[in-house]
Amino acid sequence: MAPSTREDAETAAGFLRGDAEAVSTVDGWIAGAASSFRARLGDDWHDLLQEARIEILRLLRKSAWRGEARLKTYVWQVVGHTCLDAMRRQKRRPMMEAVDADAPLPADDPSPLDLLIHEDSRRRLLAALEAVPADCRDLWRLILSGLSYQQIGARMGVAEGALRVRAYRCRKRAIEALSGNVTAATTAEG
Amino acid sequence: MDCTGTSERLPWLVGGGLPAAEADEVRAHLATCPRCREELAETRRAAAVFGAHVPVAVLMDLAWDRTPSAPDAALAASHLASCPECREELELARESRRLEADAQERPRAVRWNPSWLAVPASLAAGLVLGFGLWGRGPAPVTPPDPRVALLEQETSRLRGMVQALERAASTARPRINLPLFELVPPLVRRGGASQATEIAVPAGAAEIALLASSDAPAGTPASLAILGADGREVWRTDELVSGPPGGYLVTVPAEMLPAGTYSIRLQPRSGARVDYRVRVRR
Repeated sequence: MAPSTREDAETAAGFLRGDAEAVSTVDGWIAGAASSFRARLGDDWHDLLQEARIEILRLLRKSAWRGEARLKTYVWQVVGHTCLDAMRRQKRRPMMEAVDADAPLPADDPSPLDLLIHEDSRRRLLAALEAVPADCRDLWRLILSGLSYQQIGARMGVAEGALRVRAYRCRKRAIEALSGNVTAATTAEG
Repeated sequence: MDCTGTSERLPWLVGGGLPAAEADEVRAHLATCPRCREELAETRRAAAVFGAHVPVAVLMDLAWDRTPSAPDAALAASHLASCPECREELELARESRRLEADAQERPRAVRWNPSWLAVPASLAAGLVLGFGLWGRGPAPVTPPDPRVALLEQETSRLRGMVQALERAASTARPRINLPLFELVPPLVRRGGASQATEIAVPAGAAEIALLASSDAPAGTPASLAILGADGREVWRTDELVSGPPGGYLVTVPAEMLPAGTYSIRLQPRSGARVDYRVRVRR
């Protein structure tokens, strides 16, 4: 990656000061970086531009950009990250019951220890997911997409009662995998 | 509703797909049953497992050709092989990166700057006086129209779209010599059901086309899944439609199918499922 230039530093400083020219430049980069996500994000795209702008402002204020790459490249990556986060939030919307209203809100700037714990946690989740059978993953993907068991049963050609039992077994397999008690993925029936 | 009925419905309660009346019944039972509340907590943990995806930071590393840490790289590779959502996200991130590479440095636009209004009072007074002497009023200072910012934002967006279109146009070329392989159902395959269709991918081929013949009338929808030798799903689509002459055509990136044995499951919306076995050679 090309290192930053003096012009980059001036643009970053200008953006923080609110200089019209620097803001215009960075806004152009934000729109360019987010353009490939526009169709996917739909009506949320304009909100996303604003969110990305705020995030870049926050990161530049805390000196997160250290000049290892060009400012444009850095902005581009922050916007990509922000867009992917937004896409995932969109997908999670049907999971209303999964939201714990009493859970503490995540901090804006988690500590290094918080980050480490979070990293380990999500790595364990992903490892557990890879250990459960593919048919369980497929079934739960449909469940978490908000489909009813009637819809899933019709789609898979499985009786509703049998489907609910299968989902229950898959749930047990996931918990076992999370506990490290599963060594090989077979099927939900196995 | 009893404990069994409640427990079986918890995944859909968590996933948001339980009809309202049933959800009310389940919640009423949960309010009185500590054991089922524990089951709900377990279901949420299971949902966290099944809802796990490659972290965005790792996807960004992959999109920008940075090597993630060893456990992340291995998990990501395994997960990407079976998760169309993460593959789509990775492709969008790569597309965005390509736009960055393609973006030309443009001269910066000169925009309205409110500090320009800070003209020394004496100069302003002098101008007023000067214009007054000539029998004219001062030139009006027009404040920036807020719509200008909106238009400029829209201009940036359109620039991005133009870049994407230019890139697409520059790569759109007629394709020749596309390797096409006809999938043969097990029952008619020479050598019996255990024999796999050989797919010898020519060196340098970027894509291969797979044709599954079918009697289904044109426009019949179907699902198609490609499974690795270990049964893991490599790729899947539920939006396949049979073509005018009959049959289903799929073009896949050659790199998606490394050498090995695969099962291809074709499930027409109306009709029996057909399982094909293929062996990819390089």
